[in-house]
Amino acid sequence: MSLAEFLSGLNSVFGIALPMVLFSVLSAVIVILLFAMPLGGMCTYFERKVAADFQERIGPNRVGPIGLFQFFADGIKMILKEDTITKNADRFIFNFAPSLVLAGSLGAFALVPFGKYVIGADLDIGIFYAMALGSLVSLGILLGAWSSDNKWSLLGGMRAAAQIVSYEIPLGIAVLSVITVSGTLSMQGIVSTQAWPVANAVDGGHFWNVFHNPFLMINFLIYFIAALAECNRTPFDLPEAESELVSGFNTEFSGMRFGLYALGEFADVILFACIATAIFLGGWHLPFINFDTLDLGLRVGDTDLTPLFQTILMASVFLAKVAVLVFVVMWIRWTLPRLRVDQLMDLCWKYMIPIGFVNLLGCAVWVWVFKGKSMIQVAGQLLGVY
Amino acid sequence: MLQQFGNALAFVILAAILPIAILTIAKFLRPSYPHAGKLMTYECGEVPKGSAYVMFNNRFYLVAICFLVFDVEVALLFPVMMLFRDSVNSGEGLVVFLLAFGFLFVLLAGLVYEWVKGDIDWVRDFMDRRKALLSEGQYKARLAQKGHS
Amino acid sequence: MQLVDFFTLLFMLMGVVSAVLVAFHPNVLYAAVALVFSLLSVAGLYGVLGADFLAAVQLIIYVGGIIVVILFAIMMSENIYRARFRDAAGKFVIPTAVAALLIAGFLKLFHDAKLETRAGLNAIPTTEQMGRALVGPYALVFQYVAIVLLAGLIGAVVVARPHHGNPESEAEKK
Repeated sequence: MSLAEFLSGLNSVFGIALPMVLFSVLSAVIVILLFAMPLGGMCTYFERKVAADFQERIGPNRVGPIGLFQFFADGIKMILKEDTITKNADRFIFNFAPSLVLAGSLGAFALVPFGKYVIGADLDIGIFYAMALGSLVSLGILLGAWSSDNKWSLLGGMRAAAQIVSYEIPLGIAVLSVITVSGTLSMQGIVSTQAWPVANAVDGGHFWNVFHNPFLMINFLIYFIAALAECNRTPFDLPEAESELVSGFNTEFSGMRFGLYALGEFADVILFACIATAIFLGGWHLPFINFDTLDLGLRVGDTDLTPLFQTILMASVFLAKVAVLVFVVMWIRWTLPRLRVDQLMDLCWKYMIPIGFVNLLGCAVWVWVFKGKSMIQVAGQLLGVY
Repeated sequence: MLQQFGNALAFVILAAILPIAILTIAKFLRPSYPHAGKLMTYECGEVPKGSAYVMFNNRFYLVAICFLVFDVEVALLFPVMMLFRDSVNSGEGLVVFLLAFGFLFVLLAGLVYEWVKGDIDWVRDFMDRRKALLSEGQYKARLAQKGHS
Repeated sequence: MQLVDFFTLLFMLMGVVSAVLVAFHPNVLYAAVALVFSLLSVAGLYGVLGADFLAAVQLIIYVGGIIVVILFAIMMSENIYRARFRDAAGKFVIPTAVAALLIAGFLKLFHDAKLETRAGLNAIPTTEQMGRALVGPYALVFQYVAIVLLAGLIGAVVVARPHHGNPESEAEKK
């Protein structure tokens, strides 16, 4: 049987074209293995360099030019280290907990819109599904901490679960306010409503959601702070408090297991930065430029390379915004001290939730009064530009 | 739509298999010399005393319940707020607004009640009479006990 | 058989196996982990049947909320790790008969109902319809749900307050 016969036989077995299945798997492999994981690894190196900058020292500079291959060296070291599992630890859950954490963080990369047609899965419930996967992370941390048979791990894990779970509410409220303004849950839909406003276009863009109305600006801050707490980053890194709980919930994890948790944390940071860019900072939109109609006049022989270059430009703009947000996350880590656990819970339940709800109310009132127009569109109308 | 779900599922499955694959590959590469000292639980160098399973304060459970209720609320508000912009443009904005925020205010009233009664404090304040739910005699007795007058 | 049928069967199998583990596993924490898989498979079934919003709601509320509550409850119970849950010895004749009757009843019901398992192939997005239902015919039910949630919230905090005999109030009295 030749390869073509075999493939067409498979087509009839599954009733779905094999190329579609291959596309699913391939897009998953490319985004996760070639984007999320290497970027997560490079972030460990960037973090050390940024930390060094803030502390006026040099940081890693031995392995490779300016220390760029440090994360390869760290990865190889972690794979080659011995993996000790304590005698009383629960082996099955100990092995299975990192899968939950990574399934939650890396699985949601399917929804990140890198360009107009470049998205892993354009679901109609896009942003809601991303929130759903984020809730698997708390489960993974709690189970991993419990199975370690260590008091410090269990305490760190319970605190981590309580913290992650509490801060999902302000995160949800901030996303709700974006939905109020955008009218759709799909990620590509939200990004496409953030184009630069065009005169006399009813459903054109209203530019970036963060500049839509002042209430959304404050809710962007709420989203950012809640995302910091979700990823266990300082000032919310009590669960892995290096000076208090030994190492919190990852005390008993050594070698590559610890590497997987660290990778999961950075992947979470990058994921929240990507989602924040997509829903608040306009995804791949820049002021005054409409990438769809940008004709660069690039032709190679007969093929028109313009869509390819448009996509590359869109993806670059998106990734630049993500890089800025990740840098701000690292900046905050090396600037602010850690919150105490009761301050952390107070901040969530007594400050961020009421403020989030009040701003949601404000957004709804704004949409009602101005029929969904942003500050920029209203100003343009007043000035007579539209 | 199922095609998109299939893509999302491919991502989740790949992400779940990845740690298992990495750890399995690593198992063949790393050394393994188990030794009694390494197999003990780590407790800053001391020999661990007692079981690792301590009894926790019930405030963790309260936080989880509170979270559950507000999570259901946020999840139920999602479809309603999605319609809000369209309904404003078609003239029914006030109705949707009142329904959604009526739903929200009921639960916000619950949050305010918990706040006032001190249930969402991480460390319950026992000296505040209103929060500690004490009677007049109990409060005076407690004040005397603590040395105030 | 189409790919969607394959995934439907896979999720069904995952659901049944994990439900059996939840019911019969002697270690309570393993039963909770099996419950995670059971709820994940229900979410998967919602997905292949085309109820996209419901699948995400299942993940957020059940897997993200209720399992965390259950795990906290398990981890805070004293000595629960030493408990081994076994069914009462010898008492399996009547339960098996009742279960067999139930299964037969369900099989007849499903056979007569002629349920559509390939509904996902022609599915349309459901979130907007649910929103219209919640502000349309079910608006009053929507407000009732708020009151039910409020009752649950207040009930939980009232029960957990330090009463006489509760460890927190005992500790403070010392």
